[in-house]
Amino acid sequence: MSAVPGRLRDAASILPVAGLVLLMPPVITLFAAAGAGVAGVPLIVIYVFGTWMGLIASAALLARRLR
Amino acid sequence: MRPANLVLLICIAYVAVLFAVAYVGDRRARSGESGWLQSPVVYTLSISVYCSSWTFYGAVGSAARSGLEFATIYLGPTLVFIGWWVLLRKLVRIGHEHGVTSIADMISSRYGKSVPLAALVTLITVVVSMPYIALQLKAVTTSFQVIGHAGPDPLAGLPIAGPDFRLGFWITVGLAVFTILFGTRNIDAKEQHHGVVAAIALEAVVKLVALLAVGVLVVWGIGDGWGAIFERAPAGLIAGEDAFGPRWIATTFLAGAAIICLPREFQVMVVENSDERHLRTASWLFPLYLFLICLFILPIAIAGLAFLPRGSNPDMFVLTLPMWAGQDTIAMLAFLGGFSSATSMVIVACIAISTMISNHIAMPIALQLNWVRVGVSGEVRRFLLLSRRVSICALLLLGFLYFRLSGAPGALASIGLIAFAGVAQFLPCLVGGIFWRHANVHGALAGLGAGALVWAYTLFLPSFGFLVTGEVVSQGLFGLPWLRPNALFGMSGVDPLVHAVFWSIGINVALFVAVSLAREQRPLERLQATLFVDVFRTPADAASGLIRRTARVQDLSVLAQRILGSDEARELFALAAREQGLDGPMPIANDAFISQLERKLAGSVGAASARAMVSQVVSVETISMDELVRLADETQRARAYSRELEEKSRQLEATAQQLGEANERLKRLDGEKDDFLGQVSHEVRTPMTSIRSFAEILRDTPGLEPERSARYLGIIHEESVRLTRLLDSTLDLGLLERGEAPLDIAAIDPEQALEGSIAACQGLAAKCGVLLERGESAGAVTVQGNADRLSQVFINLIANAIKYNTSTQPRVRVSSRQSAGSYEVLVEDNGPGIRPEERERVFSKFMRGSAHTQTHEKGAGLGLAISWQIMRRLGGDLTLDAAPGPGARFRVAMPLARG
Repeated sequence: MSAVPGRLRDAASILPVAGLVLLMPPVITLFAAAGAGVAGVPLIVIYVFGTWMGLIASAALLARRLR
Repeated sequence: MRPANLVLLICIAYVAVLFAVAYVGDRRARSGESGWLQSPVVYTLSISVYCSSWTFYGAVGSAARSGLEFATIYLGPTLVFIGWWVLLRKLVRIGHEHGVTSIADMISSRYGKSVPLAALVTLITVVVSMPYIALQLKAVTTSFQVIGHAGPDPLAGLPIAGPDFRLGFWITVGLAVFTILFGTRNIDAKEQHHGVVAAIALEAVVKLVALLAVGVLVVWGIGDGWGAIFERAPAGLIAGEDAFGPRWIATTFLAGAAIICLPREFQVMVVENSDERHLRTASWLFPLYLFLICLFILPIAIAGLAFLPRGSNPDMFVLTLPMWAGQDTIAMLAFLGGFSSATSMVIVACIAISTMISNHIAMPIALQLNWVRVGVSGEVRRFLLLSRRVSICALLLLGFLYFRLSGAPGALASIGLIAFAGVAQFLPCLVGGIFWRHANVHGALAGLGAGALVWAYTLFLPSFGFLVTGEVVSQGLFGLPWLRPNALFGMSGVDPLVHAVFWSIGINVALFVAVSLAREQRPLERLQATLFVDVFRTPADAASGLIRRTARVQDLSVLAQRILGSDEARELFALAAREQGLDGPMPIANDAFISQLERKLAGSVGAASARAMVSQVVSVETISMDELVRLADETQRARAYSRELEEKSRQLEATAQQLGEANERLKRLDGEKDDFLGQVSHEVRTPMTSIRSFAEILRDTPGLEPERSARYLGIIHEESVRLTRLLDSTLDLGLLERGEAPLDIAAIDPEQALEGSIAACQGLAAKCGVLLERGESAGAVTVQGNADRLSQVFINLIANAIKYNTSTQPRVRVSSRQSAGSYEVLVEDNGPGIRPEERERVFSKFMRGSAHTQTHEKGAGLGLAISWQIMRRLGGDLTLDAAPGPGARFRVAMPLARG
């Protein structure tokens, strides 16, 4: 990732939009349809919480570098 | 000891600890050593007042009923927080710049410090808080009943038939006392409560730890790891067919709106914020907190459904599961967590809303009816405190009334969502106001009013059957079917929540935009709009020069002392006086100072009330329209200007480049001119010197032999002729270069000129012993040209070839031909040729080939330059070919005449 402030700001503005797309239908329904899971935990639960964690990590990275 | 008494005792002890924390927090804040109190972590923890008992108890209930939907309540705020750079940062900055005290203050301030708008926002907030506070009361009451339930079997008698309203009432009273003690001990200049924030942060830790403890117990104590728990999930719970439909979108939207618009969230996020940088940390730490809160919700819900008796209240699983497992300590911790989440919500919400009531409803009415005299010492402060205390009691009482009237039959989550849909009505005018400069107060009032009415009609009133009874719900208002609260305008078959959100927010936004576009802004509103929308570019003091007011400084001083307290007022005035460069304690009441004072007062009583108060002591007030227009348009102009600047600088760059190039050309020309002059002088000096010396000999030597003097005179004559020729050539070249030499162009036969030229040079060739050959001939051709000038060129080229030929068997060959529409003449010799490095400059003035030095022939060095110019003027060209053998080959080319 680049340290150019303009691009970081753009990334910070786009992050919530990306989150919205990932967590709203129709994308989320793709994972709801699949029945299988990981170690007994349904895939949709893994997906929602995984995406959530990913967003938090991205926000933490951005917050650290944004000026 | 009976369990109920033990629980009560623990509660009191816990509250005492909270008080101690708040007390220490306040003390430290006042003595200026806030330290950890003002850290990003405490700020983040205070924001988690979002997680009320709806979260602590209700999330599990929601998960047990409809699976993952509970997560939307936390995903919405997550999205808002990770997008902090766009929205929250601006809100917090505006809050700091304008000393905003509440969301109502923010909205009214943006729309020209409108009193009616502030009152409307406050009113809606009060109504919305009823179900929300009722939710907390219900949760605390029920949890009290559950944990205080005595008996050998911990779950005997459960599920509890219904909430105990007597218990609920006393809990309400307790909460009221608790909140008044916490939140209204003093009125700060800026509406910040460091002690409360510290206590809230502690409660945030308690509820997180409690929920995690219950989660760990469920997953690894009761269950056998994640997989084992999820295996017990009822079919279709986790991801039903339409789990991710309109309701998923609506609840996410409502939660995102709520984190911005809930009065208590606005309070901790904007008003209590001490440092904008804290938001940077909160942007990911708060979502992380929510993530941890949600981590164990599904396992707890599944375990509750799987292990507890059928019919158990899912909203109490967090409490009943540890009890069922015999883990009393964890059960008690869970109870304290729930108690924490409820109390923190009630405290902060009541502080925020009571501030709004006192500032935006009580104070304007009091000012209008002269209940408080601004001039009387302490009266305003006393009135504010009293009205806040009364408001807190009223709010809790209203909450209890809702609890009692509705019987709160639904799940906690569904009650909470009613409140969320209510506060979401603020979103259009709040967000629209800070991004859209033409949004105006009429639009805000219309949108907010209509949205709130639709919300009340479709969601709030039906929830407790008040006014909108079952009959209205099934038949429609006045028997009109298209007015049914669950199927407005015939939109039936939709989830009631989605239906209500769609219509209320839709109508709200539509009216807000349409009316804003239709009406003009007032000057003050336009000013505030600019200050808010461009907050990152325009500081709040930029406005101070715009509002022209005069007041007696004594009146202002009295006003300030009444509201801020005498010490702080004196300090403020002395500081202002020092800044103005005055010695005394009183500043001059100029526009800047009055504006500064108004902002300071606004920090205590809100912008609208502060303005009303200041207006009472101000004698003349005008808003400079010109200045306002200037400020309002400044940013647009700045943007346009910077675009213009860019364009201009691009043009300038191009011009500069052209100028540079022209300068280079001029310098070269200047250099050439100097060279030319130098060379001309040099060329003139040589014959002049010889003329002079021979003339001197003739003058100074009397009796010189006649033959010698004749020879000397001959030399003088010869040199004079050379000089004349040189000067003629120079003049000729100058005329040619400037294009002033007259050239009569006519159709001529160039071969004739060429033959004449060769004939003229035969004499010279014979004299120099050079063989002058005539090669192939072009035949009959016609060109547009001047025969004399053309001959001049030919003679010059042939004569050069003869004169500078140093070969032992010198030969010059002249040939002509037609090729590709042009007539060409080649003059070749077998002389020394022209060195490659000289080829470029051979047509320059005074350029002589190196062969020149090897012969005694002296030329002016202008011949080739003149020839080249002539050919150019005649539309032809003179070039030096890369000769195949030794010697030089010049080529004269001219286009053939057409026809």
